[in-house]
Amino acid sequence: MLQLALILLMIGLGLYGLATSRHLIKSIIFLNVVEASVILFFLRLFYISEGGVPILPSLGAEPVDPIPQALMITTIVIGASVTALALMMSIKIYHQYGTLDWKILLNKEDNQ
Amino acid sequence: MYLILYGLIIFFIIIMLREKESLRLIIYFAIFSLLMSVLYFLYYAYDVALAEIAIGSALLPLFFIIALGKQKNFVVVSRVEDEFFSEKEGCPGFRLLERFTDSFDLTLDIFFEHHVQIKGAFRERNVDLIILKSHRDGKYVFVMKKSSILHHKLRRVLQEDPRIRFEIVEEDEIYD
Repeated sequence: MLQLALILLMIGLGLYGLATSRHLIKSIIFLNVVEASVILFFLRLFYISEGGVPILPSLGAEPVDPIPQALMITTIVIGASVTALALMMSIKIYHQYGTLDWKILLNKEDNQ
Repeated sequence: MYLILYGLIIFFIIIMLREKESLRLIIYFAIFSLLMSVLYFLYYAYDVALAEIAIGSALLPLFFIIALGKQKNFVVVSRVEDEFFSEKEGCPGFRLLERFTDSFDLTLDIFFEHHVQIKGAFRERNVDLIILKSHRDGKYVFVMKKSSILHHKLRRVLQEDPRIRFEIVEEDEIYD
């Protein structure tokens, strides 16, 4: 239970950083932090403390559920591609507006 | 065991929240990913741990560092290569551009292409400035796109030079 609470705390800290950071690169990094914490949350939910690896279940211990793990690998790969897309957009934004500061960028949008 | 790892991870998240420098932030993110992959390993998800080590602590920091480097490039494509503008030392046009990029902390990237098409060049490639020579008045034409913020700054630096004329192009416009 304590571990689940700590993971929820990590997700909360990541969302806090995502919401309050002023630099665009920092926002993208905190998006990745939230993603990694959510993956950890799923793995912890399906974890059995006396269990074993879901390979060759005949070796004795009860294996943990392998389906969430397979899904989480997909999440990692998709997160990497989302990050690459966001970084490409940040380069374009820098060339267009000359800054990566959220406050200045939002004001620019209002003026146009 | 688990609690030490959780403490370290939360400690690194708090460091990242307080960090202002981008490069150091990326290094902290790589360390965070490594600690996370240890936790995945302890939760019997060996495959996820392997993927996280490869992607989270090697590939993603590489992406971030490449993106940070690309932001500082000022890409110039030149159709002229003569005594006014070439890559030799002491060319007046080259020195003017260098002064501009130095004052705004950019890196100058120059390509000489004698048959560059202006139509679509700004849209399809990541070009900031195209240099041509006008046949009518013999001036050097600096073509920039309208939406870029850099053209105000460059114009402020190069205002007084009589050899240079500015043209601002809308992104999809045909220019001849």
